[in-house]
Amino acid sequence: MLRIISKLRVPAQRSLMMLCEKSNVIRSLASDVRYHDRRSFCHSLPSFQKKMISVTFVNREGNSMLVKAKVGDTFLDAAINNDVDLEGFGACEGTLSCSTCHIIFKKEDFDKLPEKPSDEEMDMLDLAYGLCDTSRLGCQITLTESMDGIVVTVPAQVADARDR
Amino acid sequence: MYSPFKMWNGTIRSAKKYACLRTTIRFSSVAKHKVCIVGSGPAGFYTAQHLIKNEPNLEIDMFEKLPVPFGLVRYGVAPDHADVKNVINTFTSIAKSGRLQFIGNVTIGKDVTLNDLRTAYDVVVLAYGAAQDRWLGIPGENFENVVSARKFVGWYNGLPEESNLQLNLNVEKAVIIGQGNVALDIARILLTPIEILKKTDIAQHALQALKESKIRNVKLVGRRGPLQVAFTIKELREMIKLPEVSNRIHLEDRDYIEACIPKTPRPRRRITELMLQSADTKQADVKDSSKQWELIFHRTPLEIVKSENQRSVKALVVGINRLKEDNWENPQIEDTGLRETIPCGMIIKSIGYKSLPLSDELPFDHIKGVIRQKEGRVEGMPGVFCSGWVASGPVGVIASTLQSGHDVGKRILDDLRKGICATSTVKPGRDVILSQLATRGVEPVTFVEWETLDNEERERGKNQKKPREKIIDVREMIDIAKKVQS
Repeated sequence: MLRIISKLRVPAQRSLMMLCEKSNVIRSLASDVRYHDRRSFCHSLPSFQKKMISVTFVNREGNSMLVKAKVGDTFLDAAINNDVDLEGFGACEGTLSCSTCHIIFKKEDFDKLPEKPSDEEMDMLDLAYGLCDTSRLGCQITLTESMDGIVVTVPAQVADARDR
Repeated sequence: MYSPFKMWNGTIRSAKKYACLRTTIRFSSVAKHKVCIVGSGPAGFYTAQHLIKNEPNLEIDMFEKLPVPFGLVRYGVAPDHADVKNVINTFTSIAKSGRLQFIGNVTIGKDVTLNDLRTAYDVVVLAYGAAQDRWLGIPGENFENVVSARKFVGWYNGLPEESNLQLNLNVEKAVIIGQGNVALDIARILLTPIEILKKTDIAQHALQALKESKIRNVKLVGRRGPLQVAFTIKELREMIKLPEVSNRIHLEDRDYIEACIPKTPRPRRRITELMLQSADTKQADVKDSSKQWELIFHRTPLEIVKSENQRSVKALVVGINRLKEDNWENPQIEDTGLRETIPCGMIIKSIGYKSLPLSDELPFDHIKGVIRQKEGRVEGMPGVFCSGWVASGPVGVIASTLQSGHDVGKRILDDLRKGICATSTVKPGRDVILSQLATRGVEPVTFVEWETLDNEERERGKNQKKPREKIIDVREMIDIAKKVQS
């Protein structure tokens, strides 16, 4: 079967890859392919398909929403592009002018985040309701491959403006 | 004129189908109910957003007093805070979703009464904000060059009713009473180099006046101490980094503050540390040519004093306070009996806003300046809700109003589904309101017409290298929106 696939033209290979994407068939196929066959698979792979990872958003009602997001996008992009049901998320469109993309990580994920928040991010986070030690703003964190399967919580926006 | 056979979505065409629909309305949980929202600022739009997203069978009309939408996002957010205004993109997509009809240039309470709205709609949402001033109640508050922050912000943001605000910026010292974000906004606009301001959407008359302004020193005076400042850290950092402007933060009880810091939550700790750090690093004395802002604490305004020629403000007399040290979050203020005179030529009161009742029947708390309500439901008026500052009081950023809008939206849908505010008669909706407006000679402005005006403002802005040149006159706004040739 591999021999047949590798002899297909590139567009046909692409179509087949798209069909197999979710089932990991591609990975198992690719690992068996001989060198010259792998080459005909691989040169089409990076040019049209960026690496996608799974991200789960848990909203304040406790509903989990699993989405596919591109490596290199931010958490905010992932939520917007997948039309995730999070009311008011990302009001200022990622310009560090609000705190509505506030997300909470698990401790082990938080510790592995590549960059610490800037002063500007901390300043906006200070306004966020439910602020805790593993809080970050979703518009400031870029997704990496190692975040595949990550789960983040999205708390409510504000309890009462007069709490402060 | 309202006809029982005329439906806006055009899908129901015959009397027979309409009769079936009436039956459906009586027995289904939420049929095509009619909602109107008074106010097109964040409270109005976020309430609409929730309703649109969660219930397809609603007709939503949004009334706005001005020909232009967006409320304080257009008229409150400072000109140099353009990114905060990005929410306008969300509001625009809500307005153009086909699920909401914007009806501008209609003043509820004057052109149309609250009762008219309750007759025409199943649900009325009051989201008209807080457009009145709070008063200190001290002698001299009515003098010239003593203005409320609300008017001053309206003036530099092009609010039509404040375009002729009488201000004398030909003075060196200004005092702002209050230590919230609005006070910082005003201090920043007074001291920011013109080179920066002229690239924003600040109103032209304000830019001109600020070019000629002689103001060099702005003091922000507050009753309480550094641990109780109401402004937030982002805005404070901006002030500290203002180009060509130094600052002086008058800390009187540093030991006490440093002792409290470890007990405070992170946001309070960070802003207090920033103030202490700034108080240490900036020690510049006031020079004639440089600009400076100052933070002065523990001072209660007592009296405004005029100059000998009685034409201008000369000084603010304040009482010096002491805070009881038991509770830093909500301290009691004690008068020490000492008095101080702060010389100044202009005073801006930044002490908050108030709402006014739209009609006499509206249950209202005149002390707090808010509608009497519980969880967004107006007391004693089923089917009437309120959202945003008119309900909660004028505190909080756009994100808090977002939450308020969504919460009220949820309660509206709950009440509709339980039949609390739905009746068995089909309400006439906007038809009857529009015909009332026509007989009274009112010209409603649609969202498409606003977009014509929007494009014109952007075009005019291009010539000045500004994002837009705001049009200040209401008549001109309407003529441009409706493409009337002058």
